[in-house]
Amino acid sequence: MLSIAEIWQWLFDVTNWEGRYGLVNLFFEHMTLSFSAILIAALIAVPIGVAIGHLGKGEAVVVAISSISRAIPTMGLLFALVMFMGIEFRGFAVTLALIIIAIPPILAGSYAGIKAIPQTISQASKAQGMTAQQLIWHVELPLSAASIIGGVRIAYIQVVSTVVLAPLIGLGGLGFGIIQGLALRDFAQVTASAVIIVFITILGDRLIGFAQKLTAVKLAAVEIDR
Amino acid sequence: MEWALKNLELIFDLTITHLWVSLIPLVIGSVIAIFLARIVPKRFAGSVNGTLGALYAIPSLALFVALPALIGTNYVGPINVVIALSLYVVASMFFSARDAFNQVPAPAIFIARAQGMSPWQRIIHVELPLAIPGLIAGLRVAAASTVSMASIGAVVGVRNLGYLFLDGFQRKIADEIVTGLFAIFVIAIVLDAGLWFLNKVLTPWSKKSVQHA
Amino acid sequence: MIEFKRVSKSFGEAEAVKDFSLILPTRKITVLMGLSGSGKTTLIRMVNKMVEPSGGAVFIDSNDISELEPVKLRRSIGYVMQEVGLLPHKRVLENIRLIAEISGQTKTEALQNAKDMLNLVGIDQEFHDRYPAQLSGGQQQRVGVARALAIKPNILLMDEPFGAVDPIVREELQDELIRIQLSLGLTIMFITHDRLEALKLADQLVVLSDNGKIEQAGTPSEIKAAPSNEFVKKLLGV
Repeated sequence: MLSIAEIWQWLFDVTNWEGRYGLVNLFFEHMTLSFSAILIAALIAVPIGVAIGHLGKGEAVVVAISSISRAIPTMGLLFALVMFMGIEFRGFAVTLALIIIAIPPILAGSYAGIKAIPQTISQASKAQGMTAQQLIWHVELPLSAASIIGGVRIAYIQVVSTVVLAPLIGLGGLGFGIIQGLALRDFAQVTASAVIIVFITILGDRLIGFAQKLTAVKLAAVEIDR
Repeated sequence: MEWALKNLELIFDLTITHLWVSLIPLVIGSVIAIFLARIVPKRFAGSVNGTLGALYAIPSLALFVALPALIGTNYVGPINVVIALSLYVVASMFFSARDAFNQVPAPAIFIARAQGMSPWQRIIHVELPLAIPGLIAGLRVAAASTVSMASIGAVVGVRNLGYLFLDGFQRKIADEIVTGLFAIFVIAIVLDAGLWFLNKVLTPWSKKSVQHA
Repeated sequence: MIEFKRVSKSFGEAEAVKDFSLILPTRKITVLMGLSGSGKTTLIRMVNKMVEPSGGAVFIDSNDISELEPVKLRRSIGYVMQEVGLLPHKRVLENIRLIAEISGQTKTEALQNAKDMLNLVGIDQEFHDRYPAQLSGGQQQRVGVARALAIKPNILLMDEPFGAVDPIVREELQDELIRIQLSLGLTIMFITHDRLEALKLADQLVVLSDNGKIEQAGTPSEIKAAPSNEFVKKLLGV
């Protein structure tokens, strides 16, 4: 069994941090892949989710998309897209796969957030003469922020879990150490990489969770004012 | 399509392994989740849920390969995958299982106590049967993710349907990858339908069926 | 006979019952009447140890129940409450049979008792195989009474049992209870805030104000004839 000392040794070896496949480079690649996909997915899914929640039409579509998406293995989706788009466009294919993976939870979170707003609030706002745009911007978006961020949180978990597989198609990211280490039977590298991934992922999850809490407090305050 | 027809035997074998590697964690994980949900006192529920939430966030491949350093298993093979997937099932079901127990009507529990049911009798005759709809709803969500996540086990040497992704990619056979996607999707759908049906059979008393009676 | 001896109960800071003493005679209906905050539900729950007193003791036939095992004690005392608490996933007959079996009866005994008691409370056989949700509120409450009787108790605790049904059904159920009491002769502790119900059912009527303070106790006619103070007068509308 691997000792903690061996893992430490690997982690504190400067050569493992430098160069094309050094941890610094892999970290930034990992983050760029994850966050660009989540950002694009949010730009697509939040407006659609909000619109569906606002109009009250298309609920079945949201539910169907989010339950079907759970049954699609992300690794297969990733490989299939790279295959069909060509290996030279794999960077683009990975991003596309990650966007597809991130959309359903963000869509569901946005829709559910709007749906959960008490009717009295939106009706009162309309009665005060708000236009539909004002209603969405000043009432529905702020009140559903926590739920939208909750959707982003699930998207983040699934996206990062897939980004870890990117080295399998010849890209980098923090999963590189796992894939290479398994191939070379360098288990100190495998474990150290896994530890870094676990640490960074949980940290990210907690940060998003914190943002979720901050925005949720707002909703409670509004409800008390009512 | 042609590829799939030529390799039916391989697909069948991989499917069997895939089922084992998914079903065992679903059984182990849901039993643990239900047990925890029932016994964890309210004041600890938040911290348990937080811990499980962090666990749930860990990418599956990272968890598969982190386990050997923690518990001394081999790096390659199904044991880490089964353990990791069981943990994900626990993490995914704990919250909904608590909800399921909380939704058991309080008067039924009260009378069960007041008429002298022992704690065990109360769980067997009252709480578990009445929590079934909520428990199965949570299990359906966990089942779909487990079946699709199990495919990543192929990266650490589990020969399940995920193998079709790795092999198809290496040998540039698009059909093989598509076959894997399709097979996993079908397993997930069949499992989901089975659980839906199980719920229907186990809860003939639930509102919808009662109105038909 | 049930006896409360200088019983008190506080939940944290809040005092629910303060120094309460009362004897409930055997084979009689004792009605505790009071508004919310009078501690009446706390008192009834002390008899089957669903609530443990903070001070004092409850005796059943001169046995201090604090020395009895709660589960065993509860299997010998019938309990009926407003929310009924039928098991929604079990059919009517099974709801009763199960509780009878748990109380220690054999399977055949329990089934026979369940059928007899449903018959006694006026639930026809055609309802035996229905689920509770398929019954009216009044029928559910009858089943609730049958369930409490099926364990063959000497003591029946009734916590506002007819509070949720409409007035006509309520009167039917009260008449039913009187009829059942004539044939079974149980020691019944009955809680209500409805004065007509209290006057109709009570052999012994106990009027409570806050924290289980007994304002007056006696037969309904005694109390009606000579209410001891304004509170009693107001509560009974005399």
